[in-house]
Amino acid sequence: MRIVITGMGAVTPIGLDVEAFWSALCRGETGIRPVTRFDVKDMMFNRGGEIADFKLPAGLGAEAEQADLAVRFMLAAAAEAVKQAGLDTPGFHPETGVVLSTNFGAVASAEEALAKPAAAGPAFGGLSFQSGVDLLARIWRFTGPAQAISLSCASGTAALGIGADLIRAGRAKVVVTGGYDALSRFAWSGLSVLRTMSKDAVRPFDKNRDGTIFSDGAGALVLEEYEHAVQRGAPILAELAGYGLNNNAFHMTAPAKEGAGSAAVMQMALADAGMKPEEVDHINAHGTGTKPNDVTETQAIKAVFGAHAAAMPVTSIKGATGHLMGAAGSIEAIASVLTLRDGVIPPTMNFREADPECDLDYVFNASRKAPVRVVLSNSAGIGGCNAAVILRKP
Amino acid sequence: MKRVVITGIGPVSPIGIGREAYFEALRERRSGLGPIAAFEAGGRLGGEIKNFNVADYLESQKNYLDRSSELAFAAMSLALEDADLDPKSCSADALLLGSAYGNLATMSLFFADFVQKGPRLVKPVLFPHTYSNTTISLLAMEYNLAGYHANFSAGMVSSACALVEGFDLIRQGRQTRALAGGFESLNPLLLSGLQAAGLLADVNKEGGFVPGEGAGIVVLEEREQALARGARILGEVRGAGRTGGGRVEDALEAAWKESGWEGAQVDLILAHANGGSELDGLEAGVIKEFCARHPGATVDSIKSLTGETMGAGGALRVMAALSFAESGLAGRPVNRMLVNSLDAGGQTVCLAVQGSGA
Repeated sequence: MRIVITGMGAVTPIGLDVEAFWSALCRGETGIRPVTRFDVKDMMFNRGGEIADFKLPAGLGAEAEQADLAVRFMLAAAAEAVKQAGLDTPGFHPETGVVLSTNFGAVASAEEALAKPAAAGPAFGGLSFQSGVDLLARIWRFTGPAQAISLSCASGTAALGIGADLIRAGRAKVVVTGGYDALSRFAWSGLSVLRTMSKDAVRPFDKNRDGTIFSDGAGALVLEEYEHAVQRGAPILAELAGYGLNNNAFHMTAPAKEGAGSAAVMQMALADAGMKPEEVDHINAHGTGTKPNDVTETQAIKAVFGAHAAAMPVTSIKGATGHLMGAAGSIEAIASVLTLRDGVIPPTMNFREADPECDLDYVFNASRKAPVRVVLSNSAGIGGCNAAVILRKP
Repeated sequence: MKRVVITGIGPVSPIGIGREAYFEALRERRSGLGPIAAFEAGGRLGGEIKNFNVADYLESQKNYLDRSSELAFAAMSLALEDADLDPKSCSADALLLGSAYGNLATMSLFFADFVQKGPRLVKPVLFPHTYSNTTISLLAMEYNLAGYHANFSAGMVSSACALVEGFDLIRQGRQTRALAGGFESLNPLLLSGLQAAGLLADVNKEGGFVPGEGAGIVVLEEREQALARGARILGEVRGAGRTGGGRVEDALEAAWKESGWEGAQVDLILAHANGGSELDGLEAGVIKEFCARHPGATVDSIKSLTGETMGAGGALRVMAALSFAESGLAGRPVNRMLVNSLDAGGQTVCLAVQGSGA
């Protein structure tokens, strides 16, 4: 069964819709700035990919307007994707499902509920990731199967795979997938003490990289069974050729030795797509800018692709966007689809000095024109979760 | 399409831990509800797991575990033992779990430090344990389960979603075995939140549910592989139906259609029936109409025994269906069963489960 992407939406620190995000990304803009939404004076790190000028699109209803900021990011990204896919039609859509990923969900409501559990009431809903899924489904009258998933920073990529599974199993014809997360003081304190953050910039694959920086945002991609999309006359942006999802079974926060889990998940995606490593033209890497991730991810790519690894441009957009947590895989998939469309690989920003241990063909500091037919987007997260998705030019 | 059988179960429930204890309590219809004792709950009723010590199920040293993870560890240990599986043979199996609220107790602990001591003095060891996927990832590490890995967070249908994913992966020949289910633990934050949101049963109001905790992992296995390794077969998952928007009827019909039971009688519909949502009345009406179209089906629910075990509920209900298939229900044999899971947000997941008798 062929599964295609028929709509996309993005809310990111460098652009509040897909085209704004893509042009800023290709121009080399970065979205990391001092955090202002909450007090960071008493924290070790104060720069983040905060979205300051966000406005929810009109017409989504009162429930949407009152929703938590993180959920509003998601609703805005989903609205863009839904409209592009032409799913904004009257009546119920029993063949359309939803799979959304998040690490922290409606985190502002959750903070409120944590602070005053007995008085939480509606804020308590913020502790359930399903509440955002249900709201999105209600707004667009999607009455197919809908579920939240959470696999830390592999979430956004995993949502694409699990969404594709609903179509493969015949449980839906269309699935709106996506990821979302917002910065919050509560999560910021926890992420800070994990010692994975940088004080100034994300420098993926650079010798002096010193950590990642977390960001706000959301990304949405509409998956659809190919024949269904053709019959509707929906725009076919790319094909989801295959995916993989696994666990390192090694350590909560450290990557597996030599990127074993990451290599295995890329192999799973290749097997699922029925493709040989040589057929992949480009990798949109997880590339968080932490010391261990970037070197083990490089090792994993070399382990899977062998000699072909050297001939394959690799990029990480996290230098520009920061790390969008549960949405990272979603916006990286969107960038991958646009690479297929435009033949342009967006840059890995903030590079200064080569790391002998990171020795692939990274697209540093400026975007590169390259005909790309197949891209693999790779993700990983806390708990040792890995996910990879292979996207093909339609 | 491959056939998907159940070769082991690991129930950790308010009425019993392990298959034999759980089945016995179901046969005797023993209730596990009582005033919550693990923390101050003002006499509120709940379904707690009593006499539970995770060390009975876990050999390795752990510096920290949320109660959710403790319950899930026990469920996994029991399920593997029940299926006669050496964990070493499971490293390529799919691991699929779901829970509605993840590791809320740890989030409360972490948050207390954050409020009382400030953001620099929170505990680094606690923060990763607040993630919703921590439980499943800890299981992967403990048992070296490096295969397919997914954590569902879909309210009261969470573990039912995980079971359907496992069923689909095996049916399509993409996996030969899946360890699938879910978990939920009771803690003060969850209880006060559910209470503040008006979701709990109360003498002063109509509706509402009694919260329960638990975990359940089901070993789903491709039938030929299970037979080849001489596994004991407890039952078979024949089909599933998934809908949103309160389309309960369509989920039931879809599961029945997928089951291939056409021409045969459905013996039992195990309803979600938690007593807590508007969907309850809807579910009752839909089941009544379904029974009118399919004469001979009886309806049952285990809510009065276990309480609403939330993310664990779907898996525990599938296990209860297997128990009724083994022992019969009210003196009647039951073999073909539809097991319902509902969430107040509108999701329905229905699983068609057949006993091993026929």
